[in-house]
Amino acid sequence: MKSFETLVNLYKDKIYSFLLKMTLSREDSDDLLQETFVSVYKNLYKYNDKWKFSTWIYKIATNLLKNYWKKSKRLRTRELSQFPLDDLYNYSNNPEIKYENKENCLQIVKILNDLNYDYRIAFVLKYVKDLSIADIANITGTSPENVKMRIYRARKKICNEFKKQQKELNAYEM
Amino acid sequence: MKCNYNIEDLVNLIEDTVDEESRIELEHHIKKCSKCNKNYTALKLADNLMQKEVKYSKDLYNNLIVRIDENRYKSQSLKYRIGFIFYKNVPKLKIILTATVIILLLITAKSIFPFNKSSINKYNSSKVVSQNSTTIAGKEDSFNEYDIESIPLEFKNVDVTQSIEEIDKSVIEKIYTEKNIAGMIVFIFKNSKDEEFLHGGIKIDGTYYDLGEVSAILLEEYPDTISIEEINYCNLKLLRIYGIVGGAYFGKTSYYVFHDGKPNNFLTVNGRGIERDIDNDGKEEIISCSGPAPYTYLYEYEDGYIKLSDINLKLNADGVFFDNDSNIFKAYYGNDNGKIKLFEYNGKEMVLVDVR
Repeated sequence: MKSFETLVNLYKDKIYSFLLKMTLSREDSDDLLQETFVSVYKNLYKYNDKWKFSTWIYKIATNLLKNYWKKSKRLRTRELSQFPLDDLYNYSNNPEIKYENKENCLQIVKILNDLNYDYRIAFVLKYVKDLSIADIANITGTSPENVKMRIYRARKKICNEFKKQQKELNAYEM
Repeated sequence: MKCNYNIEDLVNLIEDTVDEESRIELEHHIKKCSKCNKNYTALKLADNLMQKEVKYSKDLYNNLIVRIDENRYKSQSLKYRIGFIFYKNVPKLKIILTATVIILLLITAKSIFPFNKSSINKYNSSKVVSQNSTTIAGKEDSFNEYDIESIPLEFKNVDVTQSIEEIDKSVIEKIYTEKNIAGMIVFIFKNSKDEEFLHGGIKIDGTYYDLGEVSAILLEEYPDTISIEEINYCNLKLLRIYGIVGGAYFGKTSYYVFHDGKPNNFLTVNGRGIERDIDNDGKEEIISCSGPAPYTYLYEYEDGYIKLSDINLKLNADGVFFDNDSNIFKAYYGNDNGKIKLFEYNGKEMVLVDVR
């Protein structure tokens, strides 16, 4: 059990961050995180060392997330303020810049929330430090080329949607 | 202003994978180009968001411990260990399983198509090779058609010491049939002292001898049920009398030999005795076969003694029938789905030639 505790402490923040970026809900991420580690504990004897351990644990989390995604399709119009954004826009002392930054951050979160599952998971996993494109391909069950393509499309979608929202905002302000 | 930069260039800038000159140039461009500026802002914000690692503040481990049934999943538990061993050995198990399936298929194929040399050499005794002659004395129950192709016979001497009595003519109540055999009168008669059987009799030089019981049939009605013959057997002149002495046409064959002008019992067998040299050794054997589930004995004459072998016993069969035409012993096994095994006698052994 001692080694399991070490394992939990090593991965809990990484997995929680990943789940929070995917669900944007602290409560759901909390549940999924616990489910992930319970599942890891139960299936530890199935672990095959041909996989990197980090890949295996993200794969388990991803499988649980996929089920969650199917069940909560209709619930994803949730409050977006659950993701802690303060430090992302509070770096300026100028209230106007601060406000603009906050609005921009919220827009990006909303755009991310509207990304489809395949683009979103590829994009989120791209930022997990331990994972290569090949690892992401293993976790998502697709080819590395497909992963790259999904990340590119996710970025393009973020840019396009951001520009669209900025345009709408400017039109409203005028 | 024409913009030559795309999203990938902006991503490279954010990820800091461009050289210094390009970085300065691109940063300068972003300040002037509205499109790239917006794209850069969006990508930079998304990047910041994704780079952020959120700490999990609760005591996850203790929460998990409550949820995990330690007793059930602790590594010492039997189920966990079995599961562990199973999953670690799945590749080996696959090989073992494949090998097992192949072996089972081979066994099944062999039981469906029992290839046996003897079945190929059907009825061809000259080609039957007696392989690995296995002595199975006392082991008849373990007889296996696939590993034993020949069964050695064991013989024991037959007691023929019973002497033939002279009789007074007055006991001959009635003579039914008589036959002249080499100057001797052989006849079937009613002995006044025996109400059940007809006896065989012989008259030699005016002396009458009683050959014993030979028939239980009323010969007036069924005269053909008895036969009196002189035969040559192993260079001996024998008198053979065949008659029916029991129900269900239970026959008996009696052989007599003559020494010093007197008759002697040579052999008495159940059923109709067949004298034939079935092993081609120049001497005839006598085969007797009787009963509804035929019981068969094989008799050999050697050094002045008659020896017999119990064929049913040696073949461990429920019934053994001797085929008069092919010289084949057909052994019937009722407990083995009525399987019939065909044997030939080679002078020492019963050789399996076919299984049906």
